[in-house]
Amino acid sequence: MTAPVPLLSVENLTITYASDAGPVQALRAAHLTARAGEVIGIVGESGCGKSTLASALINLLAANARVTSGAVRLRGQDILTLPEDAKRAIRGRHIAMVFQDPMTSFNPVLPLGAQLTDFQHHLPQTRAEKRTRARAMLARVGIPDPDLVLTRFIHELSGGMRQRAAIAAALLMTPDVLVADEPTTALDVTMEAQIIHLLRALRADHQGTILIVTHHLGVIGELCDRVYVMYAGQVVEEATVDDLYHAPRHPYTRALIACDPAHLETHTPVLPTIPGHLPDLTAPPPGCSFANRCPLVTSRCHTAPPPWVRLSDTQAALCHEVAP
Amino acid sequence: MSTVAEINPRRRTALAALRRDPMGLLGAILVAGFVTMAIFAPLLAPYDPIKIDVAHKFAPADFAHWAGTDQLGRDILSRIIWGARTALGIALTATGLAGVIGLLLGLVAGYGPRWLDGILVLLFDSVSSLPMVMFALAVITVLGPGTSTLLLVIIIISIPGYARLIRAQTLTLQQADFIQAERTIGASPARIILRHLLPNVVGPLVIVLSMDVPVVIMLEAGLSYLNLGVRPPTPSWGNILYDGYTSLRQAPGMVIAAGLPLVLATLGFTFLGEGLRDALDPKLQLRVPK
Amino acid sequence: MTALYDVKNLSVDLTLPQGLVGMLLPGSKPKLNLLKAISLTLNQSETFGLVGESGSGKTTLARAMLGLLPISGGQLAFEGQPLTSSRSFTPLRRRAAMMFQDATASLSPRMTVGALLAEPFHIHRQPLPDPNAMAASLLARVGLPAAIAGRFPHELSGGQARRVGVARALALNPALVIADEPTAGLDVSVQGEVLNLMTALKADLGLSLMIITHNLAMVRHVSDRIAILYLGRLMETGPTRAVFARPAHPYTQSLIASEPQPDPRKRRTGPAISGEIPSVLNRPAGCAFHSRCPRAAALCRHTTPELRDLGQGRAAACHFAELT
Repeated sequence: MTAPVPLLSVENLTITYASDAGPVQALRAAHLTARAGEVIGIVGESGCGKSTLASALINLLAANARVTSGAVRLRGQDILTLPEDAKRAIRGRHIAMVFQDPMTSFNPVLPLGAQLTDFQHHLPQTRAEKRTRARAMLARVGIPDPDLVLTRFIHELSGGMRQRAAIAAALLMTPDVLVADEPTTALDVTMEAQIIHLLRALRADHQGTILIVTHHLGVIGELCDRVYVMYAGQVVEEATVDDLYHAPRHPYTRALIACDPAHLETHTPVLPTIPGHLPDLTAPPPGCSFANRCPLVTSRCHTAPPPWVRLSDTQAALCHEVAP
Repeated sequence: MSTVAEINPRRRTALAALRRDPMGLLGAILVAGFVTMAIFAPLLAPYDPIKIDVAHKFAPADFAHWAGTDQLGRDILSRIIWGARTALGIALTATGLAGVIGLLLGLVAGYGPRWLDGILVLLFDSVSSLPMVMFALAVITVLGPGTSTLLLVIIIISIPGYARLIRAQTLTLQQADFIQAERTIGASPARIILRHLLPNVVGPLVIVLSMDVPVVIMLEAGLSYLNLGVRPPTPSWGNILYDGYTSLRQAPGMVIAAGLPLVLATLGFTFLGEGLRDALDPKLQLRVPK
Repeated sequence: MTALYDVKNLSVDLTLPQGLVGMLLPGSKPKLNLLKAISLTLNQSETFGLVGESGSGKTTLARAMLGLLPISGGQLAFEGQPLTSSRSFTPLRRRAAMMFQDATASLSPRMTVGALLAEPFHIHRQPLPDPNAMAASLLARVGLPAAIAGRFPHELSGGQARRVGVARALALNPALVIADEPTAGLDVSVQGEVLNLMTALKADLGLSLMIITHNLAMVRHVSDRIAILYLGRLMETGPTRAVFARPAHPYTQSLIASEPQPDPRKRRTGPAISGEIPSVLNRPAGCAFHSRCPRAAALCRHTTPELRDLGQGRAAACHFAELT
């Protein structure tokens, strides 16, 4: 029996950035799979490579980035090796993105209605039909007066409304994959709760997969089914959201969860931290990247690259010290 | 990606940064050349620039007169070398003084009380709204032509531009966190202006000033042409150019000989200005290519 | 415990900008009411959390307390001395320090860290026999190597700049440090380090700390008492643990209920609060919160509730505070 082809898969993806100090290895053999209907979380701190991974998914890598190996497959087809016009056809139509700052998704000098209509250029409908569709989508994402908003410019909306409009714009193309890069980071907590609720409601009628890229474990806990934890350019753990929180296996995942003040039930005046620093990614260590900060470190962690240990059907970790 | 700390930038002095910037270096060499010419004019010039020798008028360029002679038989090369002294003397003095006054007025307008800002802006706008040539003619009529009148006119008409540039930057910086931080630790307005605002606004002024030096050289030449600037027989590039135009048939090389230093000085000061701006900004130093 | 800083009935208005003619004409000028009737007390050696979403006026309050903004009503007193004129703020400037949200931007860009650390001594004419030794000892106190003194602000990482900000705040042995979003933009593993440093220094030096933040998860662990602001009004104040255990104001309740939960077993069912924060230009009449309040009654729409003492050091500005 052959396993069904996942909707989206990233295989062995390695990406370097050219810099003054030599190539920075931002992503090292990163991998993930996502099936239709799943909400996948990608979590990690700054420098972990999650934004590079998101840019690679939507084919918008920076000019100084180079893919040295690996593939991003949409229904089995590698989208990184496609010709430029085919890449463009996939972007937006099959894979859409919601950015941290929704202002970047819109043209500041065009009213939203015109832009939301233009975004549907690949559809056969008339402009009037497209506008009706845009109106319906704005109403779907909880914008109270969609007719009015269609005539407005992006800067005339509040932060929460902008992010709703950006989500509506991404969904108009009925993409297979929706990538949301820190979708709530720029919002106040009451707005954040509303956007989380919206994304959760939308997954019911969204057929594809949603990828949430964030540093915020709260967003992961509220939204995701499965989670990939990244550190220093590598995927260090994969688990269901419940296992990740209640039975994390990689020492970094454990430390990260322990640091989150929201995790602490009792009053804790001295907050837990992860001592030490990220390794220099121009020359990553030969062994485990987390070795210099790890409480379980042994001598082999400094010399041999850690294995990807499969712990269950849904959980795996990149560590010498985990045993199945 | 590594953190900022790990990149560990090497800091360079302004001079070293300039050396890594070929255009800035070219500008510096050109400007240094003209400055040397101006300072050592008596030593460098082969002839007396105002000595008339009608017998040898319109002599072509040869080993005796490298750039030929003019309609009165004066050595053009010597006049150009001495002209550098006139041109740079007036241009550097005028832009320098106008720059300093504009800088201080701009800082006061931008950081000082609102009412003072209102008055100063009104003043800048009034001066800018005067038609430049009319204003120059009026001042010269009252004070009489000459180098000091020329300086006065140029300084007065240049100040509003510099002051407005500085005021705009000061107004932006005034809201910056580091200025607020200085206020919270009790820094006096004078300290904030001199130690924190001034170093951060002076960079763009330097580039504007260095680009204005050739404009002033041109202005001096233009007014000298109208016999309202440097009085003959004092050599000025403007005078030489004018003489060249009037004797274009007899000695076509004269216009080129007088125009070339103008072009080179313009390029030199512009390149130097841009190079200096990059060198003066510690944030830009990081981007200087290796 | 004695009061270190006393704020009584403070109001701050912003006079809207007008042209030169408007400035010269007598008569009332259009005003925007940023803060109204704020009363709170900072005690010696305590950590006070000032919580609010964007537009709540929390940063305005801090700036008014430091004399950076003109106040339009109420009284301020520091160490028992009333702050009435700009001259009366001089002792406060020496005894109180502010840490800004953007730590890098709050350091004068053309000065080295060493010069920045020496500046408070020069400004207040304090003896500084050996600037290098002083810089080294201040840097050591915040866990930075002495070599940092030779760097410019843009050469520091976010965490380092934050620590330099702490070092500068400590230069003149202050009695009060006001920290505006001290963890904004920091990874969770680093935010603990900065907060623990501040807490340790607070204990060592016996100073008071005011932390301005929107991060409830963090402030509940590090603060002794908190105050919650909404649209320039004080909604609730009290000991942190009591407020989190049993929030008296419906806004506090919704804020706490909006925090995303990292534990997927505690997922929220729906958003705790609907609607958006109104603009200060368009503040609702009566209770500022009534437009989003689940418990709003007719009374709330026209009568502004006073901040009422609820006993045990707690107070709330809600007509129905006792009912909870």
